[in-house]
Amino acid sequence: MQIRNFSIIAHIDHGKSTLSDRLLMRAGAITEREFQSQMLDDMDLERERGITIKASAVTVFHDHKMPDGRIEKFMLNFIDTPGHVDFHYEVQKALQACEGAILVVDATQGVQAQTVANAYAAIEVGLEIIPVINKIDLPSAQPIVVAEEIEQVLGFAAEDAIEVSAKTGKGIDELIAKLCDQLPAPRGNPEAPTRALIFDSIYDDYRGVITYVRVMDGEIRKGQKIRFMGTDKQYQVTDLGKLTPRPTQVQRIGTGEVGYIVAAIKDLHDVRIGDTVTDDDNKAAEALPGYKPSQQMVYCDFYPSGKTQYDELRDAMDRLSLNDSSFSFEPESNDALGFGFRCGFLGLLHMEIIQERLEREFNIDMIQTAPTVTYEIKQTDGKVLRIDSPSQLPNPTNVEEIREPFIKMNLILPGDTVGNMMKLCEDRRGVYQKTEYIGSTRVMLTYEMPLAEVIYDFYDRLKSATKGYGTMDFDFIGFRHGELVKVDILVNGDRVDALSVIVHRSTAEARARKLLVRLKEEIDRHLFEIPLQAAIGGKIIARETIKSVGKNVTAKCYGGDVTRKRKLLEKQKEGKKRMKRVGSVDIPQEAFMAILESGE
Amino acid sequence: MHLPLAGKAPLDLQGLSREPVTGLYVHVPFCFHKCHYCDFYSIPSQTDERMRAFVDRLLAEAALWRASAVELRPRTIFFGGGTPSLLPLDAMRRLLEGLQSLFDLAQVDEWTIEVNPATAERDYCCMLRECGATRLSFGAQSFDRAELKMLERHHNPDDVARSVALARAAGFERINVDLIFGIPGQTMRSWLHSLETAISLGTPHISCYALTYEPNTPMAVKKRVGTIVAIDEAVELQMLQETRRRLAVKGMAPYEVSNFARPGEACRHNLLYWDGGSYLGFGPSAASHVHGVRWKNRGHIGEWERAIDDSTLPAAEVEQLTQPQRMGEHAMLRLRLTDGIDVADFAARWNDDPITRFADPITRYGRQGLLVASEKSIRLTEAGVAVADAIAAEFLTTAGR
Ligand SMILES: Nc1nc2c(ncn2[C@@H]2O[C@H](COP(=O)(O)OP(=O)(O)O)[C@@H](O)[C@H]2O)c(=O)[nH]1
Ligand code: SF4
Repeated sequence: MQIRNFSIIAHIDHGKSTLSDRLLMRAGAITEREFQSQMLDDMDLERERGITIKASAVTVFHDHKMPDGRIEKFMLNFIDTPGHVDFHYEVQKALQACEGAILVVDATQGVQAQTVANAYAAIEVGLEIIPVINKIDLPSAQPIVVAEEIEQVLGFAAEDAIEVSAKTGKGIDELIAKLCDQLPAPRGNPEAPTRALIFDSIYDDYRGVITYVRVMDGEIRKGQKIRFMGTDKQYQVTDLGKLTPRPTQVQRIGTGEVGYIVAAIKDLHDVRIGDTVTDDDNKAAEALPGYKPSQQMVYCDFYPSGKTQYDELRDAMDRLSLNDSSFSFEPESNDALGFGFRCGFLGLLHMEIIQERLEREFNIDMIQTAPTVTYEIKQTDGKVLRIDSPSQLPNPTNVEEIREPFIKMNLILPGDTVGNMMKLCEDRRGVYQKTEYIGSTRVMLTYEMPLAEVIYDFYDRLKSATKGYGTMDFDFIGFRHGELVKVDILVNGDRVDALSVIVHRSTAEARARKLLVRLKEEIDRHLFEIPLQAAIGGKIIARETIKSVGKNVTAKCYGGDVTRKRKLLEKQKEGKKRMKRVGSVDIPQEAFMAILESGE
Repeated sequence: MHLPLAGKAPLDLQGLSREPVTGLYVHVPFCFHKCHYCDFYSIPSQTDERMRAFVDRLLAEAALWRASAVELRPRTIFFGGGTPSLLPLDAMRRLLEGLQSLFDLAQVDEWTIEVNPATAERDYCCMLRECGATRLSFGAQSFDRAELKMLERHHNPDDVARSVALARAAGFERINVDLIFGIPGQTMRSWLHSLETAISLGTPHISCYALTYEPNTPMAVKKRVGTIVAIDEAVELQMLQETRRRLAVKGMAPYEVSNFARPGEACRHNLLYWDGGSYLGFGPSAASHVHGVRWKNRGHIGEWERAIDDSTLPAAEVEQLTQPQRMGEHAMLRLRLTDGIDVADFAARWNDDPITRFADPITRYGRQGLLVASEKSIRLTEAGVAVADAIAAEFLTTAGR
């Protein structure tokens, strides 16, 4: 039996999920009805946001008519990749489990930023790529134009692109035939010691961690003693299986195949994506290349508020991290906000997902501080340290250099919005790289830019600068020196650590002023005047004042209707649930996030 | 005896305290015309017939209570509305006499009736006095024609002086005049003119309320859509402070945020409310409180009528207060009074030391000069009065739910 391993990659909404389901259906793995309910991504939240967080691998069997007319059975394994930039590393590992990829491009939208990013990622891993133009059933489809774009930007011959409609099924047979004919068969040595790549894992309440692997060399058997080479932990395989797409037990997973391992592993953090599984009795000499621990780039604090207690928040985060090894948290306490947690995320979107799940699934009330990136600090004593919060910044006299994370960003936008976009990028300290044309109307701009500048509402700005048409994708490229300073915010004379920001020296004052104005809007007037100050070191660079409440007394007591009076007063207080008291000032959640919006 | 209830909420009459109830409020829900700031329950343009039928039902409601285990032995009675004086003379007489015959009114030492200054008549005032009323309250609101128009009050500035004279002639010494400040278009000057005019009438009691934009009143709507502009908050605050200062100088010190009286002339019925006393309320929307149980009569006159016709109590929104809630309310109400919270009284009533319980807001607001606390009392300063609601809200939450 022949084996083909592949992924489907696409810009969001170009039809990756629909096409996956259609392929499964054609291969007889799911019924028309299941097709309708798109079963590959199963979390509600993902569905709503249109992204897939968890990769999974599905195996189907297909009878293919070979060029010489014989019918041969093919095992098609397709490996789902996470669909967002935050999960860049996970995407890369999933792609490494394949020999080929289907690159889906929407016939009405053309090449977009994630199309480019994903295609590059696949090329980098050395995959054979089959370009597919989807949604050709739509009247506004322009398959020829899109095929030319693909050729121009990515270099795949226009005539090689297959036109399909995932919706109607048109072109699907041709696509499957091409998968069988064109993708390389997996290589690898069945006789060598076992080496399997971990490309995904999920936590199951009953069975513990379920680890997805692609076997590169040798095989994995039920009952085998295995060792994870990165973490150097040893387990025994209790169960092996494949998703077809229902879980199906197997006795072994051979070279070139994919499947999952159950081995009584309790903690998801022990299973690292990119790690190599080997046979504990016959260890491989060398692990598979490219393993690194997942890299958290964005940090923020969560503090319990309202009805939520510290323990409840911790338990909820414990539950979430069972299912998401790239989310981390550590206890943190803060003069202003009390006891909470410092949390690390792969990126902004990842942070939003976690926050939303805590609130929705666990009914948690919390205050979230504005996200910050990780900085690298070179001290005068030569030591280099990473900090993920402005408050960790050492005393300025001990700091020789602050380095900030840089990204390389590709932006695809209509040609007539390039001016707007360049202005935005320059404002955000972007370093221009190049411009490429995509067809006659669109342009791809490449910039290198500090990640911190992207956190500050960059995406919204991009959308408005490009009338909604612009798309972006970025990749971390390293730490670079920056003229950075820490701006502290004092509320009523008290420094509020959670409001501190690290910003570029040239924009510090303007940023500080805007930030204070936003804080003034967010913090209610109190019974006393509240000075707001921004300071670098001991030097005040901006100030504002929140005037005291002049009058807050209702004239009438509503006669004997005391209940009404009481309810009115209770309501006055209730409007302010998500608040933290700092000294004697109540600061609402919005104020902590206001730091984010003051960029412009 | 157990009375069936019209509302769903259970008012457990058996569970009510047996201590006599010492206050009675009667709500007369009729007005000649609906003023634009008003959100009291009242209906304009009523026939005499309907008002007579109202008196029948009010007496029927009183009779239900007379037959219950709750003992009403009022020391203060208040007729409010609406406009009680809109009731035809014979109907009003029947109402007053009816109450006399149902309850023991021997201990009543204050019986106030709200009267419309536009329509006060000598005979009417004499009848009220004869039938036991001791105090009249006139809604003057302003002595400026344009301001009265703004409020949609249909009387003339001169009506008030005439009414006060009539009341005196009928034998009333205890008279109150209500004023409103903070009316759109009002200036400090025009307000002081109204205030001085009211003072010159020589009544022993004056109430000065800041205009409140109650939701769903025409004034609130007009403000929202921008046809009127609320006066500046700072000016309104200045008006409140100047009013309190001026009246104090004239021997009418404030005894509550908005109420002013010569010594001994404070409205005892209102003091009962503010001291957590027990009272029954008759008539649609009237509120009652009996030792920690609060309820409100059905607000809509039709529902109220139906309940009475079915011989059921029109009570709704029954609420059994917890001890912390009662303490919170007590603090909230007493803080509005110039005397503030009486520490010994609070401690005796709730077996809880207020200085300890409210230590947090006391220190915080004390430091800001908004209240003063001693072994005897906790009370707001003049600066505190301006933000009394914010402070009261803090005491409420501190007391707990
Ligand atoms: N008309 C049409 N719509 C399609 C086709 N493929 C996908 N869609 C629609 O495009 C939207 C995005 O598809 P989805 O598979 O969720 O995209 P993904 O974000 O790449 O997974 C959905 O509303 C699909 O129903 C197609 O071939 N034709
Ligand atoms: S007279 Fe009094 S109760 Fe009647 S509408 Fe005017 S303010 Fe309201």
